[in-house]
Amino acid sequence: MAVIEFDNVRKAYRRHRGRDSLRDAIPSLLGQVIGRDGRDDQDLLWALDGVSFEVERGQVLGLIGPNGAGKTTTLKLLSRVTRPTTGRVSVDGRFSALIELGAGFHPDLTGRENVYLNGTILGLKRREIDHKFDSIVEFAGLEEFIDMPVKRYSSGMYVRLGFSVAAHVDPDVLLIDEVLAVGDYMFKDKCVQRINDFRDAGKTMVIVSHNKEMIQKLCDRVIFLHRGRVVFQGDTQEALDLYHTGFAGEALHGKLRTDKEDSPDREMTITDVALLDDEGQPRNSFLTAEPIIVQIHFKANAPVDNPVFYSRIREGYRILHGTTTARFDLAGHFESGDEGIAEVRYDSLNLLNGTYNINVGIKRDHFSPLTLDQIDGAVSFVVGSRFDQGGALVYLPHRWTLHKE
Amino acid sequence: MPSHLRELFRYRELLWSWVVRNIKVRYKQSLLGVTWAILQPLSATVIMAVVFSRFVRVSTDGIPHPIFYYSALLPWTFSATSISFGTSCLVSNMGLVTKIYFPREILPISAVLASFADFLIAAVIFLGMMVFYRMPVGLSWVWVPVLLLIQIMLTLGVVLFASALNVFYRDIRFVVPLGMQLWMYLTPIIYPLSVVPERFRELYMLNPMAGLIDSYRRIVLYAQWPNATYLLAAAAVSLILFLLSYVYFKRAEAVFADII
Repeated sequence: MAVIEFDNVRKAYRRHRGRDSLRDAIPSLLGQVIGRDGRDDQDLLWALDGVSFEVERGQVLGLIGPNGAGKTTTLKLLSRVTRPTTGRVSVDGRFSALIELGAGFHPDLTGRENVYLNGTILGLKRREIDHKFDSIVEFAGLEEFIDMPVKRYSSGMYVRLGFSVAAHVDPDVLLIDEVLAVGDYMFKDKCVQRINDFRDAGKTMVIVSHNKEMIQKLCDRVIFLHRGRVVFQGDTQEALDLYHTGFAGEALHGKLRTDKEDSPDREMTITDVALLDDEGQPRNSFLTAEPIIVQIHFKANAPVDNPVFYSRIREGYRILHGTTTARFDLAGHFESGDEGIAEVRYDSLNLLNGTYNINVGIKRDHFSPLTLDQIDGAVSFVVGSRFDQGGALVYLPHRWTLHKE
Repeated sequence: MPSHLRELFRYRELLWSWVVRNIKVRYKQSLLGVTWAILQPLSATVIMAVVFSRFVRVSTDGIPHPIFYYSALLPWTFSATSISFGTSCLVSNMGLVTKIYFPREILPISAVLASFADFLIAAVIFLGMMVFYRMPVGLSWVWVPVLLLIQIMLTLGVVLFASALNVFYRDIRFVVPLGMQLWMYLTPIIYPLSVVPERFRELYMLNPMAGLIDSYRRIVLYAQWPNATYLLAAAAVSLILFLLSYVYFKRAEAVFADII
C-alpha cells in the first residue's frame, strides 16, 4: 500500500521575486485589473517538472541528484511546507521532517523549554513529551546543560538536541534532508543507528543525501533527480553507479550540445568540454584540494584575433569562481578551420561536498558583452570531502590558535 | 473554514506552547521584564493626564484624568501591541515557516494572546485605580468579557491581514505604525465620545474600536450598560473583518514558504 504518492507533480518558483514593495505592487495590481499580469512565464523556474513516484509502507527511498535537482523541494512538498503548482501530493500518516534540526529553537529559552516547544511544533502532545523527556535529553547527551539557554550551546549541542527531539516524534513517515552532514562522528553513528532502528521498525522514510555510503546502507530504492525530473528510479546500486560515474555530467553535456549544433555563422564554436585530473584522465568526481583541469575544445569558423575564453565553477546557478584568459594576456590568432584547446588548471580544488557545474564561453574581447559561443552547465562534477562543512561550499586552508592571556 | 478550525484545534497544544514562548521571550529579553506590560499604558496615561489637565484643557466629562485615560489606554495598548508584534510574526519566524508545516495562523493568534497576558497584568493597576478613585461598580461589568471577546476578534482580524500582507510587501511594517496613530485619533481615547459632533457620529461609529472603547468607559467609569447600537455595530464590523482576514490568510498561506 502506498504511503506516499506523487502524481505528476510540478512546482514553479519565481526566479526574480517581484512585488517586494507596495510601490511595485500598485502597477501590478492595476495590470491584473486590466487583465494582464505584467510578469511572464519566462520568469518561472521549474524546481520539479512532472515527477511521479510512490513509496510503499516500510520502504526507504533515497533521493539523489546534483544541487538544484529538486530534492529539497520534494521533501518540502512531502512535509506540506509548500504546495505543488500542479499535480497531487499525498502522504498518509503522521510525518516528521528532519529538514532542519532545531528549527524553532529560541536562543533565549533553555534546552528544556525548547524541547517542549520544538516537540509540539513537530506534533507531539505535552504528555508525550513529559513521557519521553529523559530519553530525549539522554540521547542528546545534554543532561547537565538542559536548563541552560540554548544560545550558550555549541553548534554541536544544538544539532544533537534538535535531532534527538525529531527522532522521538515516532512518526509513520520520516523525511531526512542531509542533516547528518553536521555533528561529531560519535553522534553521527548514533543518528545512523537511530535511523536504522526506524527502518527495522518498518517506518517509511525518504532520505536526501550526498553521502553515498549512507544511501547504500539505508535505502531500498533510489530516485535520481536532475533539473526537476526523474532520470532514474529503481535499484540503489544502479542509481548510485549512474550518478557517480558522471551520468549527470554526460547527460547534461549531450543535451546541451544538441541545442548548440555547430552553426557556420558562429565565428568560433566550442566543440567539447572536459574535466581532467592531474594525470590527464577524464573524471567527474574529485576530492577537496585535488588538482582539476577544465579543457575547452574549440574550432574557428572565421579568422579571429585574440579571443577571450572564460570558465566558471557554479553551484546551481550561483557562480563560485570565474576566470578568463584576458587576465593572463594570452594572445592568439585563429584562421577559419583552426582547432584548439583552452585549458585552465586549478592546483587545488577548494570546494566541499556537493555537485557543481562548469560554465564556459568564448568572447571576442574582454569588454564585449556578447559571446561567440557559450555552454551553461557544460559538465558537472561531484566533490567528496573529509572536511566537516556545516553547509559550507568552500574550503579555505586555515588554522586556529588559542591563547590564554 | 470548518476544516481550518478543526485543524487548528488539533494543533491547540502548539498554539499554547507558542503563546507561552512569546510571553517568556518577551520578558526574558527585557531588563524590566513584566513591568513593561504595565509601564506602557501607565506612562502614556501619566503623559496625557499631565498634558491634558495642566497645559491643554480637554474635557473628560468630569472623570479624574488618570483613570479616564487609563480606562481607554489599557484596552487600546492591548490591540496596539498585538498589531505591532503580530505584523512581523510570519517574516520573523521564517526559519520555521519554510521548514515545518503547521497551521500558520498559530503565529498571529499567539502574538495576540501573548499581548493579552500583558493586558491582564496591566489590568491589575486599573483595579487599583478603581479602588483609589472609588469608582462605582455595577452589574454592567458582566459585559467586559463580551467586549474583550469582540476586541480580540477585531485585533486578530487586523493581525491576520497585516501579517500575511507583510510577507508579500515588506513595507507594511512602515505603514502599520502610521495607521495605528491615525486609528488612535479616530477613537475616543484622549477625548470622550461626547465631543464628537452628532452629525458625524454614525460615520464615526463605523470604527469598531470607537464602539468598544466607549462601551468600556461606560461600564467601568459610570457603571452604565453599553450603548446597544454602538456595540452591535462594533461587533458586526469586527466579525466581518475577522472572517475576511481569515479567509485571505488561509488563501495566502499556500505560498508563504515560497516567498519568505
